[in-house]
Amino acid sequence: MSLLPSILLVDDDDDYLFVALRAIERTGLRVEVRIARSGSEALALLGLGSGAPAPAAPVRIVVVMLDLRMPGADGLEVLRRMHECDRTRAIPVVVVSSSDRPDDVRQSYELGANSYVVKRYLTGPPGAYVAEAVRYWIELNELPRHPVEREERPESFR
Amino acid sequence: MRSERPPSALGESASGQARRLPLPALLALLVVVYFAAGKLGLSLALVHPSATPIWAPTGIAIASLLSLGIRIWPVIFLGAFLVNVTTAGSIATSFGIAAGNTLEGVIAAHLVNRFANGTRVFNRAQDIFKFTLLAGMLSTTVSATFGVTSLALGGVAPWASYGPIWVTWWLGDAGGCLIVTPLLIFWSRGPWPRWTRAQVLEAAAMLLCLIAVGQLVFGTLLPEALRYPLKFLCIPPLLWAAFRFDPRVAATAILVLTALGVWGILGGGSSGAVGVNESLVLLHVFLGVTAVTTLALAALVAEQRRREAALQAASHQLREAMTELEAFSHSISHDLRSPIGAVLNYTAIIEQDGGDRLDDESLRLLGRIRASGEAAVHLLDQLLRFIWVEREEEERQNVDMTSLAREAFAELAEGSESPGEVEFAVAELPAARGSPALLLRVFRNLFSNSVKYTRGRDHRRIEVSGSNGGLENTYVVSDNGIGFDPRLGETLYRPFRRLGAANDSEGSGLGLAIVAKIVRRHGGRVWAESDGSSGARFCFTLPSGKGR
Repeated sequence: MSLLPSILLVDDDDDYLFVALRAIERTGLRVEVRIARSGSEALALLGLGSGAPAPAAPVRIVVVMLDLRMPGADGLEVLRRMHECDRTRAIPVVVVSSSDRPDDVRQSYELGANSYVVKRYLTGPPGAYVAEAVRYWIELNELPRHPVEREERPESFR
Repeated sequence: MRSERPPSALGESASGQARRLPLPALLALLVVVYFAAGKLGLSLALVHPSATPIWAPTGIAIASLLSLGIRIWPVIFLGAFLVNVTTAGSIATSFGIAAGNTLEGVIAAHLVNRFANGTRVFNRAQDIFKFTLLAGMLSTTVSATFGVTSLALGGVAPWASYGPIWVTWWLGDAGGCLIVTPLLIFWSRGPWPRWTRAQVLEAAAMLLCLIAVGQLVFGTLLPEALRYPLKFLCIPPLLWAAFRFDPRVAATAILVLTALGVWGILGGGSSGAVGVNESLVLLHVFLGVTAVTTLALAALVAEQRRREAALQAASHQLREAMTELEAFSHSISHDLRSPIGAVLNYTAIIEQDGGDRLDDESLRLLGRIRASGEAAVHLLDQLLRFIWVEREEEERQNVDMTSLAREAFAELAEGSESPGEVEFAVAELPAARGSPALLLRVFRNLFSNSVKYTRGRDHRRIEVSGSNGGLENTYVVSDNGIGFDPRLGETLYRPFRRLGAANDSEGSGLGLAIVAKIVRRHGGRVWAESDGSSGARFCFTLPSGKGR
């Protein structure tokens, strides 16, 4: 098991991933970044893949940065599945989408998203908004120390 | 007269599943019906055994020749010949009369096919008038002339009474044509209307009213002294049929009235000073004229209904197409946003990481790329906002427009597009009713527009004022910018409409379009005023709210 906490970037857009990864690296945060290029890949990494058993040594994912529009299982599906499972329900999820449709925002929160960020290109250095969101969840926010601990403090992230 | 039975028998046989009757059977039926109707009509013949004021066969002949084709004329001829040869006169006179009857129908059918839309003649008022003239009045002279001449030549009628017999004959045929043809055409054509219970009840009430009026006007219901010429009373129930139902029902109502009239006159009602024949002739003329008027009206009403339905369907389609188009532009805008955003990001990264390794020209070009990319993203964002105005359903509430205007300007001042030195003044504004979020956007876009077009002027100033007009308030955002050509007026509010060349001023060209869309969605209006040099006034109205 990795010692560092991991964040999971889920997006099918390589350009976004490149920029987000670069911006997160520049924050100097001690995190490991995992990348999933689809909803199904994300679910597998979270040990929620259909049929596939959870990884023997599951990575300790503490924050998920989730895109909504992806082929196959989309972001909303990932949210739904994460919320259904006791082990993943408490992991904070930040939706990072190019859509500011009121419907998308509402549905995301209804399915348990903790934050909703619209992809932006006109303000600040490239990807800075993603890095800032990550910094908030890792540094300022108190995270559950281990997913299993959720049972003791059930409502902290709802 | 019970002649409505035979026609309706034909009507049923010529429509619905009975239309699949083999043609020979249909034609045989036609001969029988024609013969029966003719016999019925001739039983009312008074001036001469062969000349009757009521001659339904004319209508039967024209309707069949129109819907089955002119080639079936021998059937009409046979029917007419049989009627006459069994009534009065010789084979020769019957031959002449039958020839006249047949020719009348053939000419009428030909003229209607040629000039009045064929079997669809009763769908439009102008065709009904043509029908009246061509079939009702013109072709019927042929039958009258052939018939009366045959009688006179054969010595069956005296030449001296040629005139009166001709007129009776002509009017009898004309009445039959105007009353019976539409009835048969309508009832021989599907789809039959499906009535609701309420409609059936209303039809029954209409029929009752019709019978009551018929009795009052033509019958012996009233004592002799009170029998005034009350024929105008027939109009309201016929209008009822025309307005509330369809041309088919109107035609049927006229037939009912005809039956009541004939029955009444034969029973001794309403004849007054004139003889029975004259009464019948007058009745026929009256009903013929009424029939044309009623049918024309019914056709207009039906036309109107068809138009309304077509309009509704069109507007529905339009709405669907709009929704589709919006969804399409939305997804296009989204899909374009990411790649353009990537261009912006990579440009920024190169500028950041490799800036010191690049020469000035490369840096300048990178700046150009970034500027273009930013303009594109800005445009797409505005486009998305423009599209979503339609979708954002927010509850209407009382909105303090004064605070909203201040908030919008403050946002603008803090935002990326800094307004610079601008004097901003808000008068006390009347409260509006609407969605605060959308109305904030109205102010923001108008201010941003004013900021843009005052750039470079001395003492830049943006003023907001408003007036309460009862149900509707007017708000005005004025500036002392460059103004616009007053001829442009409301076209400013169209999407992608901008003052000057594209490079003159920043912006997407959607700001004012969004303003217009939001205001219109609130039920208000937008307009703009300028003298072309010293500033502009952007005005809009909104429903009044409670409070200031």
